[in-house]
Amino acid sequence: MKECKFIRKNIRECFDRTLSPAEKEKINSHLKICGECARHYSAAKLVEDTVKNLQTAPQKEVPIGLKTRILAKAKSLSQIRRSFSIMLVSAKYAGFALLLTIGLFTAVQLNICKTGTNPAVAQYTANDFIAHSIMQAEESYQSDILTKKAFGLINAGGLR
Amino acid sequence: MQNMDKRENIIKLEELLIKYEKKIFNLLYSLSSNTADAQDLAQETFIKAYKKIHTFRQESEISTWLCRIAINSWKNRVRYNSRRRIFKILSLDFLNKDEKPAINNIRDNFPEPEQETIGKEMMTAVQSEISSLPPKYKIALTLHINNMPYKEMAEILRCRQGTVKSLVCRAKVKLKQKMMSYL
Repeated sequence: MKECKFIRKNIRECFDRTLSPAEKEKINSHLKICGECARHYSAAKLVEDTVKNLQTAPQKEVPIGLKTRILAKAKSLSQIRRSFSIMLVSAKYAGFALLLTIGLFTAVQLNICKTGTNPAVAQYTANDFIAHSIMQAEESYQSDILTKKAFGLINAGGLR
Repeated sequence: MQNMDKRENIIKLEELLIKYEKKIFNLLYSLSSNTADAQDLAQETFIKAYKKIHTFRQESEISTWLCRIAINSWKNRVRYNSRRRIFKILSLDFLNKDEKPAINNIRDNFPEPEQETIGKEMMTAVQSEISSLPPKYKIALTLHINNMPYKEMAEILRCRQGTVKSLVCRAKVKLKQKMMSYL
């Protein structure tokens, strides 16, 4: 039982040739009398042999046309990318043109409103707003000066 | 300027194909055990490399980088198939008469005809058991079978050489346990 444990633990070393001749002899003599250990040994040997054989087997030839297929795919991919970038640039220009058109259209509409049809909208145009603001500022400035003068007079008269 | 870059990339891709097409195809064939899948995955690998060639930092060998892309592509394919419940029980490669299974390429170690047949059958069984191993063991063992040095394997799998050796060893132990039922 103790030997079985030792052998099953060291089966791999049998193939790596790291065991001493005495240990190998011990294992060989045990394998002749123990069926279960012999099974373990056979399975391990089968795996080792298969791996070694697969390592030495000639490589599989690459199917004809794979390289051409890959290169064609890469070329088509770069063409798709190029057409996509062209589309992106054209979309940018189209967007810009659309915005410009909308701006012009709005400006024309506002101008129509101002000149004739709807005076309520017309008073909110930019020029009117600026002129109105200037007038308000001038008025408030004038009234401020008058107030200051009035206060001065009151103060002067009141204290004395 | 961009056209120049693209032309350069195509030339680089051609060079990569000349040098590593066989290596990558064989690696993918060992992993997928199917020529059609190996071809698709090889195409995917090289196209990914073509797209991302500018991101390659030359910290490792370009073959290592390609192998890593190939393995990741294979992993993604396996994940995709498992999500969609696509099961491949057997490869249909043997239906193609021109194509012989990899086991037929194996060098003979069995002198007796009867023993030879048994031996080949058992080796086929080992091969089918390799394909049913968990992915990390399968990848490690496949790279080992493809005669890749442990150092390169460690770079591909992004782990230490000791870990790679232990993965290969554990894969063999698992295979041995599975093969016990055949004996």
